[in-house]
Amino acid sequence: MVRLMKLCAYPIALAILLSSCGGGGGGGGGSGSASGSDYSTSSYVASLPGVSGGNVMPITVDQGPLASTYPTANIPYVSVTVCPPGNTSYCQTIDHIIVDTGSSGLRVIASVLNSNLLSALPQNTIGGTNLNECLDFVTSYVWGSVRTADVVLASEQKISSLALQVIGDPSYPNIPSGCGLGTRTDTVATFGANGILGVSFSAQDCGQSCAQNSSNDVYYVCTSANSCSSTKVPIVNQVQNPVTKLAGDNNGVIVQLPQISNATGASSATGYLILGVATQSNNTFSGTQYPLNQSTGIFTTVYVSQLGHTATTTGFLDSGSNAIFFDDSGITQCSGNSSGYYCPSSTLSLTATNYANTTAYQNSFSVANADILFNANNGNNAAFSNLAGKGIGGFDFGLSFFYGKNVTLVFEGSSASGISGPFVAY
Amino acid sequence: MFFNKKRSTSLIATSLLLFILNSTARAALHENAHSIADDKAALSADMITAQWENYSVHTLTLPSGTVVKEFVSLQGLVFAVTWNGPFMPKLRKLLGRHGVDYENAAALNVQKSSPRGPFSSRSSELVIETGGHLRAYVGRAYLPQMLPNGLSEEDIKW
Repeated sequence: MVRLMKLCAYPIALAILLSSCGGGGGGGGGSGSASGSDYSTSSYVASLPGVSGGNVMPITVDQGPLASTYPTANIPYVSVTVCPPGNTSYCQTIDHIIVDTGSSGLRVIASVLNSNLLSALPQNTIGGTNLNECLDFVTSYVWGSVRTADVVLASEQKISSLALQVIGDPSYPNIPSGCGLGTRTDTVATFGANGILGVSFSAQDCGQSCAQNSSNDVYYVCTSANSCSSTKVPIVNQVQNPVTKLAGDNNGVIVQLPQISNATGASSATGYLILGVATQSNNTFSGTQYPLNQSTGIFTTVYVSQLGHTATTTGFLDSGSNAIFFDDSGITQCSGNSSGYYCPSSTLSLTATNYANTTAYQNSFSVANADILFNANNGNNAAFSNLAGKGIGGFDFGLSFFYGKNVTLVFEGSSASGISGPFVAY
Repeated sequence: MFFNKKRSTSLIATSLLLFILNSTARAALHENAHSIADDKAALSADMITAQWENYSVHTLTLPSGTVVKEFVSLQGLVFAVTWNGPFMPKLRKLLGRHGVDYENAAALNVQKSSPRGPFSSRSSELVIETGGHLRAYVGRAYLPQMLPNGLSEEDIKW
């Protein structure tokens, strides 16, 4: 099966890069709609018809950059090119970067950067002191420097002087006392990727809170590796949602993934991250539009559990969550290696009701036995539309929910076709 | 699920006292609530205390906008903490001696390839649940054997 996959054979030099990938799209497509219903042992790949354009980034869902030793499940990856600011020397195209509609900002694991590139990325400063960041991802956190780079997303989409995070920067091995709790994920193995491309509804990772409060415990100025203190950072100096910094195609993104027609998943799935919404012929959007809360990016979800309890909670679409996570004590949970996921004895067809303002829409999804999914095809499957797990604090429509859909996300402060963001549509 | 749980009748019948303290403190789970007063930490949080029949709830609004609640028994033990808001609170501080339990359990979670998803861990001594996403995090941690009479696990809301 495909494991360490380069989506596009980007050369090192940026100038060559811009012509080499041509139309940019089509890297993972071309084979038509997914078909086949083979179970258990045969390998099955799900793909979409080709989409072309300079604003298209091919997505691959596979078992990740360390598939043989640390296989991942249901994580969508793209490639991103990072260069020193104003300089095409030492550019590096990095594969297996997570597409995350649940966070904002580009973050790369330090160990995947060539040493020449790492040393050519200047560290940002606040008041002349080096800036670092500690960011929580619920149960895990990352710590590392904030630096500036030129970044190429799709073939025609270059961002000059983008603030990004270098996770696990060897210059700052020690975390400050206020930073994180849970699992420190500063290696490719623990992070499950070479980096993350956060394209959530918010334009920065922190926003006003970090601009106004010095005790935010997100941003730190460090006078030395062991002397860091939490600091205010003006919004313009924070780590930015990279798409918002593009010259065009900067109002949102569309995530397109194929249906997974095999009940036990696919060894890989290929789709597209399309930059911009209603800005090109290839990024028109359709479906129900769900306005998002301006500050939290959520809508309202109502769910009736298997035990008949009705819950009104928060809902959000998060491509960086690898399953649909929700709370239903009537569904059997897995034990052992799959604990945290659901393991019903037979696949459940369920519905959640999502609200677009006050209008209710039924959203259907399936929950299969995660043990069976993870063991199918000799454990080599990576893409599952029916993987779900126990959730906390709302209804997390993770990647399982994205298959077979075109999920549109328009950012805060932006609009598409005259409709103000933030909203999602699918 | 989280917003419509019924409070037990004994609590509804209990008179509620509200008063605001000029405190910036936080105590940790499984520690004595005296540390709330002792810990005049750097955070300039507003705090509201609600006194119920068998316990009190100290609600702190952090500068980040995140709301932390600490549930304290009549004996002064912090038996539950919750959080809800745009940023995770300092869990290292909030969970106190149980931080290591959380880290050990969360490390197992990472090995199953979902280090950025929600997480829950339950033992007879400790329950930890955490979830959400950027700008909307929630969670709670409590000692199920230490809950006072009249308070169920469902009553520990963020």
